[in-house]
Amino acid sequence: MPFVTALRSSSVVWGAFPLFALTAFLVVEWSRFAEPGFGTAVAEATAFPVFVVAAVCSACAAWEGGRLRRGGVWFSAPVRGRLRILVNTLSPVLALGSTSFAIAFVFASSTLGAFPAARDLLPLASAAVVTVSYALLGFCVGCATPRLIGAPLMLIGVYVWMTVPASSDIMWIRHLSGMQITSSSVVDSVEVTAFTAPVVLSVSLALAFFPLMSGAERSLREAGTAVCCGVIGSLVAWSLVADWGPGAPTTPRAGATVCAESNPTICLPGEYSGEVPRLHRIAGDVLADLEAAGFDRPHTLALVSAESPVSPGTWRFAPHPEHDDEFLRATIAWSAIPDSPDCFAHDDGYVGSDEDIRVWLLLLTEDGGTPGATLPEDASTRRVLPVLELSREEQMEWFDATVGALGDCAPTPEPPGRSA
Amino acid sequence: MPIQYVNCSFGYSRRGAVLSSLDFTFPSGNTVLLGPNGAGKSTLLKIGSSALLPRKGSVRLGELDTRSRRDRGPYRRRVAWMPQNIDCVPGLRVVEQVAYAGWLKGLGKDAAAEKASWALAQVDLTHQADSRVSELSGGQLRRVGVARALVHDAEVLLLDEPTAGMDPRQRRVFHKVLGGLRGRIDIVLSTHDVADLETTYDSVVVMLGGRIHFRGDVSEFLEKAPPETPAGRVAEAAYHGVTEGASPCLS
Repeated sequence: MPFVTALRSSSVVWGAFPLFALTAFLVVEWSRFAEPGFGTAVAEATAFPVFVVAAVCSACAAWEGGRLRRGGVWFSAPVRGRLRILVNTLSPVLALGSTSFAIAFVFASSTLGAFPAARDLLPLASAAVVTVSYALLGFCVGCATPRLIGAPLMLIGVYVWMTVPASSDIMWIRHLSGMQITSSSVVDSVEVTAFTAPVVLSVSLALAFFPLMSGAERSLREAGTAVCCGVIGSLVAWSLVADWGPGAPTTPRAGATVCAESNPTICLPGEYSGEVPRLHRIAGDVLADLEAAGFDRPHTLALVSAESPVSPGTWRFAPHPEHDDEFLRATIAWSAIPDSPDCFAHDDGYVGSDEDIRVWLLLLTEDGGTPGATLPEDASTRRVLPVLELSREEQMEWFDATVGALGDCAPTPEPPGRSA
Repeated sequence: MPIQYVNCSFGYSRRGAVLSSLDFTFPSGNTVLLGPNGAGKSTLLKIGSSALLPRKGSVRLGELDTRSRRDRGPYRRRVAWMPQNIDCVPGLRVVEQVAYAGWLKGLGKDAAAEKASWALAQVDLTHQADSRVSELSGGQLRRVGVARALVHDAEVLLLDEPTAGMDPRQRRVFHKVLGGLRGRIDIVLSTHDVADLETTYDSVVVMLGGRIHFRGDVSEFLEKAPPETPAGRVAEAAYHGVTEGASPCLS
């Protein structure tokens, strides 16, 4: 049937405008917490409404499958193959899904002020395949059930399947529903497997239900093959994510960092390059204070993935364009603390903390005035203030001892001024 | 070219057989398929259309065999079928129903639209082309079914009780349509209505209990009526003559 006829007579016309409005709302909400100017975030924001787009598309497809069932199409001895009839029937549903993602893309792109590169489109590609798969699944279910059962069943079923596992205690199930629960950052990219696992599962489920859509051609061999596809696909998908934690694994973002040569060299992701002059100005002050306190001046300050090794003389830091100057001072001061393992991950009862040396670094790099004047008058500040009265060597000894304890997951020493 | 059933068996469940080892070829021309309810007429036509596949044996049209996936498309292109229940795709207008049936039978979209208008004209439904199916009477709906069967250029037309629910005027229109197709394609029509037998059909097939009980031309069939039968009741009496004493169920 011509596309216009298919569209006019389909259930898509009822669902389109509510879905478009909801998609736009969800994308704008998601984008409020995303990185402005970051192309990958645009793709992730576009893919975010997949749980409603897939649910509505699946329900519409079930309705369309029910129409063919009501019309006796599969038992009318058609010359056209099942796939041809399926594509023709689902063309309005595919148009609905495509338009929803196009609207999501326009809103995400305009809200975040960026455009994703081709390599950033993986989240969107995954969401598109998941949507098509669940639409196919809905269509197959619709071919076997009355419309008034199939459509609500798929709407609720797909929505629940895509949203509830995200908060499940069973970690692996979180990564299979197709809802993307881990976001990339400017320094880390979500692993490709996080996008392929739900695709494998959804495609295999759609294939498993495929024999429901047939007339005289239904055969035991076809049903057996379909069930095997479903089982094998589900097992493959599960094996991909079986040992994952609450978030999907990430890898350092390739080619993301741009370095501005000066003293110190500042390495930032391209999206933050506009911050270099401000960081240079603040870093000059802060590093001078730290040098005066006995630190060796780093040749590079770098915002890179925690999983990327850094060379000696390079300090990691974590600035953000939305930080004010005061917070950036703190960020640069804290970059003097070297990497240490996550001791709490191995021992819940670990008693060490870097809180005291963080306060001490803030006190060292305070922007003039009485020591501690810019800090809240809390227990930590009171505990560390006496350290400033010690000699430079004693203070550095305490800092090194604390850093060493953190590195060994041993209890951290008390600030020396207090014990004395 | 007639449809041929070769050693054909079929049952809707494993236990009960509706057709059993049937070897039969429909005659050329217009054939009326008669028989009581449950005789297997609709099943025979469904299998003939390839909407159902036989459990054993095969159904052929020339070299084409419905059991072969490769042959099924060309077979279906050459055989049109109107089922007993006219199921329509909800939401489509009458002309769209017919055009969609044409598209399903392999016509291109433009050709299907063109042939749909032609087919509706053949069944005198042009004025209802843009109506919704829900607005049609039972008789009009059956004419939509006939139009759907006519829409593609089939060589064999299988019609399962097409005149059920039609008023006398609609039946006249329908018989006129069949008359217009006479000699161009082979038609097999199942019905309980034996009026106009001589003028509309060339052959008669009577089914009983899943078997072909009688097969012959119309004059042979009418000879089965007792000699004293009044002129307007000859066909009916011939039918009773043929079926009298026969078991209605497949043994």
